[in-house]
Amino acid sequence: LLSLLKLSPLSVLRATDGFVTPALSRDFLSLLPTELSLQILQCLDLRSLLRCCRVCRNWRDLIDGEAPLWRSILKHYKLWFESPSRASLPPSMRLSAHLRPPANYLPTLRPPNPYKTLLRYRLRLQQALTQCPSQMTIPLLTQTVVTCLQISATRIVSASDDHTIHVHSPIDGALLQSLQGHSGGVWALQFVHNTLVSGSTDRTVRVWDLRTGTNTHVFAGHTSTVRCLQIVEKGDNGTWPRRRMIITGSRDNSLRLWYLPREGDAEYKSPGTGEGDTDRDEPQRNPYHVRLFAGHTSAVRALAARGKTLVSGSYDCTVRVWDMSTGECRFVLSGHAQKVYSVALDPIRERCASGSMDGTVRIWCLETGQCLHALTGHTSLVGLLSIRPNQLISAAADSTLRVWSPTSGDLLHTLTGHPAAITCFLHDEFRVLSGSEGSLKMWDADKGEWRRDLLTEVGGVWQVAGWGRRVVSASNRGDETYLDVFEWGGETD
Amino acid sequence: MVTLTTSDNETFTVDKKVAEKSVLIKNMLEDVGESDQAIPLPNVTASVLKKVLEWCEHHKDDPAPPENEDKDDTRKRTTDISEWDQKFIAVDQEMLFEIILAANYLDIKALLDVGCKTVANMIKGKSPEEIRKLFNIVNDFTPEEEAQIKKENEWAEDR
Repeated sequence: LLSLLKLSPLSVLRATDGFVTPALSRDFLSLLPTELSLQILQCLDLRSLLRCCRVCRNWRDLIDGEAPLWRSILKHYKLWFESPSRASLPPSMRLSAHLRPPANYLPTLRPPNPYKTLLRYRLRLQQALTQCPSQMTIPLLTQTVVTCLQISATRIVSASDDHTIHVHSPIDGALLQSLQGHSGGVWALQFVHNTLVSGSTDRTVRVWDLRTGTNTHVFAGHTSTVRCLQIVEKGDNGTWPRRRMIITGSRDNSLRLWYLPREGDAEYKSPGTGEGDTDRDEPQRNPYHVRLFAGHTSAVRALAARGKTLVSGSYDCTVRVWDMSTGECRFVLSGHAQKVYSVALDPIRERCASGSMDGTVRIWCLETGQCLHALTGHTSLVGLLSIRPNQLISAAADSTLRVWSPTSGDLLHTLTGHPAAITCFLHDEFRVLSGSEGSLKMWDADKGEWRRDLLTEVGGVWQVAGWGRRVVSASNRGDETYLDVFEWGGETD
Repeated sequence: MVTLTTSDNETFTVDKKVAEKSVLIKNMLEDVGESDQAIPLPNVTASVLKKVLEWCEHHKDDPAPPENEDKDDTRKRTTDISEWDQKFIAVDQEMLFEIILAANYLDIKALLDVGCKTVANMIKGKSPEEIRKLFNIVNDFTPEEEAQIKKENEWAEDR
């Protein structure tokens, strides 16, 4: 045969080659045992992998069927978030949003791997965030300081010291509702779905139905300004709490725990909440009141709660760790030399952190109550603090932000550029923003670099909040107060 | 020396050190103890074993690979292959296929790694059509399915 081929003309050789080469070809991924095919796939970059999905049905089903493969790519791109962090993501960024195949999906095809669509969503957002966002400006028609701000897919809720809570659309900026009822400035609020909770200098906690804009519940009990509050989510896997709760902290040195009314619950308004004295026995009659946490000897300024664990920071210079299910104070954490202004929980490492007027951040062990690290470097009040799986960020009145390792307490980066005290900041899985007199800045906290200014030539930037592709900030220009909605391109939430 | 018998009844006599690059053979030798009996390898043909032993001979003095890689990031950071291995593995697909299977059966991790990386390198940078042609694969998607699959998988083209 070989001698014959040597004598053959080129055309015959070509024809022979067209016959021989396919005969020697092997469809490796289909014919090898699956674990070996996966070993090959693990060597491929994302682009090649996606091209392989388009080769044939067999290859596509193999690759799309392999959740661990896609998870490893999410980890590779640092887009895999551990569970406590996952719960804080907008629904569109969670795996559950990608479990169902897209609308109009061909029934003859198996749906794509949900981890793959999650990867696509997160990669696109990550990429979009390197671009310039679009901007929509909403005049608030007041001159007041915005004290609270939160954004979801459908609502922007802002509160100011003029007693009113405003609800705007993040899509077109329209004013959807004005919530009237508080007789003092609103200093704390949070909403989940259609239920909003607010706390005020009028000493009440109010619950609002955002579908109708009505104030459905008024809780009395605190004897001074309600300064901080949080809606406590249901525990994982049936652990305490079994339903959503509200924890409030007040200038009256105490904290109180309440059940969060469910949508459609009967209205309840504590008597005597208009003007005048508070009835000291009232909370005991309120079916939503669960318990009081007394012990701090000065105002409660900050709190953080998850599951049974409550951490409170006070002007009495201490941080207290409480078991919310029993009311027991587990630890009084002493070490700060001055008032505590901020606290944050680190559920992955069973720790918490606190920031103080003394310029330090302290990391504490929630199991032993020990101070593990005292982070020094800030030269004045640390008013803002946030922990994500691989970063602890503090923002201070010394005009800097500092990025620390939440494990070792090492300083990783100092973010400088603001001319004055940091008044607000946002730290989520994808971005870090901070506001100060004159500007709103966006940072790359991994690299410790400034990315861009979203606002310049403004007065104070009071608040900033984010959700998915959008960020909202509240700032002053001249005498007027404005909301600015920034939106990065990509898929819809 | 160790004697090995292939599926097509050929025998190879090699240095123990060379044969023990295969964890399978190493374990068998430990189980059997000192013995002159040939070790049967019913899953490997002579032509493939010859090739595999050539690799083992060249790599017989390599240090043992580190046991556990970072379990969190199982992705291979590189598909670089040494120059000698590249020349060694420049064979037709049929032979490459057989080498991968043999390396897996004989439990020679480093050789299996070279084989898998080689296939990955053949795939890298190619369009779906070029991949099909290379491996003689039939496109069994309907035009509607192909359009859907394309849309679903072309989002990292600029990465």
